[in-house]
Amino acid sequence: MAGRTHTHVGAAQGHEPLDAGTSALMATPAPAASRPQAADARQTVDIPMSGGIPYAVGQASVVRIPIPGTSGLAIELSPRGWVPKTGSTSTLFFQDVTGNRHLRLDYGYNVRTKTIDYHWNQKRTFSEFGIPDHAPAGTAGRVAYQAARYFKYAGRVLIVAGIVVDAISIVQASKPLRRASQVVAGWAAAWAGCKLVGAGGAALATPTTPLGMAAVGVGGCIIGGIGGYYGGSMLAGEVYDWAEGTFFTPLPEVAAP
Amino acid sequence: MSRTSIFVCLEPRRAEWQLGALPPSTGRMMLIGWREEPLPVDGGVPPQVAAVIARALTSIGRITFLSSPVHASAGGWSPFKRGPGRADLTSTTDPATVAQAFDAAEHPWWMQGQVLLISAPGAVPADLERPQLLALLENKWNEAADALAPFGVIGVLRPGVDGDLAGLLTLTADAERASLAALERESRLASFDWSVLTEAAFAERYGG
Repeated sequence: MAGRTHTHVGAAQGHEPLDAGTSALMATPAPAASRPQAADARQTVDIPMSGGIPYAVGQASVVRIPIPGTSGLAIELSPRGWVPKTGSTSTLFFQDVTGNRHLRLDYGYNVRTKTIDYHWNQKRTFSEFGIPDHAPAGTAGRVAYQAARYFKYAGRVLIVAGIVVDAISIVQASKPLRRASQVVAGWAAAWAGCKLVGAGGAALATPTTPLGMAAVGVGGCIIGGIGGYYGGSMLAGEVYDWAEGTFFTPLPEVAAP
Repeated sequence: MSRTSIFVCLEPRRAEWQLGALPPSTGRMMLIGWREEPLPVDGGVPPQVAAVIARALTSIGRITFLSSPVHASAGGWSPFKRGPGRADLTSTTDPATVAQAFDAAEHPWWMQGQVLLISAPGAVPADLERPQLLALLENKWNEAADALAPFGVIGVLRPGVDGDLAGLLTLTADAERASLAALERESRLASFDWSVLTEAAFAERYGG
C-alpha cells in the first residue's frame, strides 16, 4: 500500500524487514540491551497471524469426505434430508448425496436387541461395509459416537475462530488486498486438500471397518486442509507479488503501412 | 423361504417407540409393525410392506405426504434454508405414489422425517402451511394432528423409532375401525401373516 513503510523490529543490529504483505501495523518499542528478548520479539511478530489451523481442523466437521470406490458415499457428521429440532440421534454418517444410501452410527432404542444401545442403521450399503441394519456398534462405536458428536460442534467453533482470525489479519495487514487473496486462496485450497487427502485416507482404510475409515478419512482431511491452506496462501502471495511487480509498457504507435 | 408378517398393537404406552406421549391426549394410536424372514440387512420399510400399507391407506381416504421440489441431490435442505410458507405436499389416492413416501430422501422415513395425512374419502387436499406439517414431526405431534381435524384430516401416520414401525393416530373411531380392517384385508391379500398383539408381544416380534 502506497505511503506505508515496513516496520522493523528489534535492536539496532540484526534487523529484518517483515513480510511486506502480512506484517501487522504495529509499532514495537526498541528493546533494551538484552539480545535474546529481541530475538523472541522478532520471532513472534514475524509469524503472520493466520486462522489456517483452526479453519482447516474445523472444516473437517462439515466437509463431505469422499470414499473412493463406493459409488458416491462420503463421510459426514450430519444427516441429509429433514432433521428434527432436537437434532439427529446419529452422529457419524457414510452416505450418498441424497442420504438414501447410508450407514449411520446411532444411539437409541434398538428393536432387535430391545435395549438402548449404540448401533448401526443402514440402507443399501451392506455390499460396501458388510454391516446389517441394527448391528450393535460396541465400545468402539460408543467412543466414535461421542467423538463425532463433540467434534461436530467443536469444528464449527474452530471454523468461526479461523475466519475471525483471518479477518483480523486482513484488517491489520499492511497490504490488505494481498492478505485477503492469501486467505481466500487458503480456504479454497484447504477445502480441496481436505477432500483429496481425506479421500486418500478413506481409501487406505479397509471398507469393512467404517470406524477406522472415518478416523483416517477425517485425519487426512485435517492434514490435507492444513497443507492446502498454507500452500494456497503461499501461492496466492507469490502470484499477488508477481502481478504487483509486473508492468506493461505500451508499444510505440506506428503509422499503418 | 421368505415370509412376511404385519402386526399391530392397539394400546401402545412405551416411550421407546418415539411417538410422543402415549396414550395420545386425543384420538387413538395404533402401532403398525412388520417383519420379514429371513431378516433383511437393509433398514426402512420393505417395498412389499410399503405397498400393502399404501393400498390400505388409499382404500380409506386421500393421502397427503411431505415431498419437496428441492431435491436432496442438490444438497438437500434444512429448516435454515427454507422459511415458513406453504408446504410442499403430494396428495393422491394412488397406492404406488403413496408408497414413494417411505423412500423419499428429502423427508426420510428412516430418520422420522415423513408424515402421511389421511383425509376423508372424496376430500380435497388439505390446505396447510409448512409449520403445521413440521409440527407433526415433533414430540407433541398428537396435538398438532388434532388441530388438523377441521381440514378434513381423519388420521396421521408417522414413523416410529428408526422407521422400523409406524404410529397411526386416528382422530375418529370410524377411522380406526376402517384402517384396521383395511390393513388386515390388504395383508391377507398379499399372503402376509396378520395379527393384533399386546405391546409386549409386539416388541418381542422384532427381537433378533
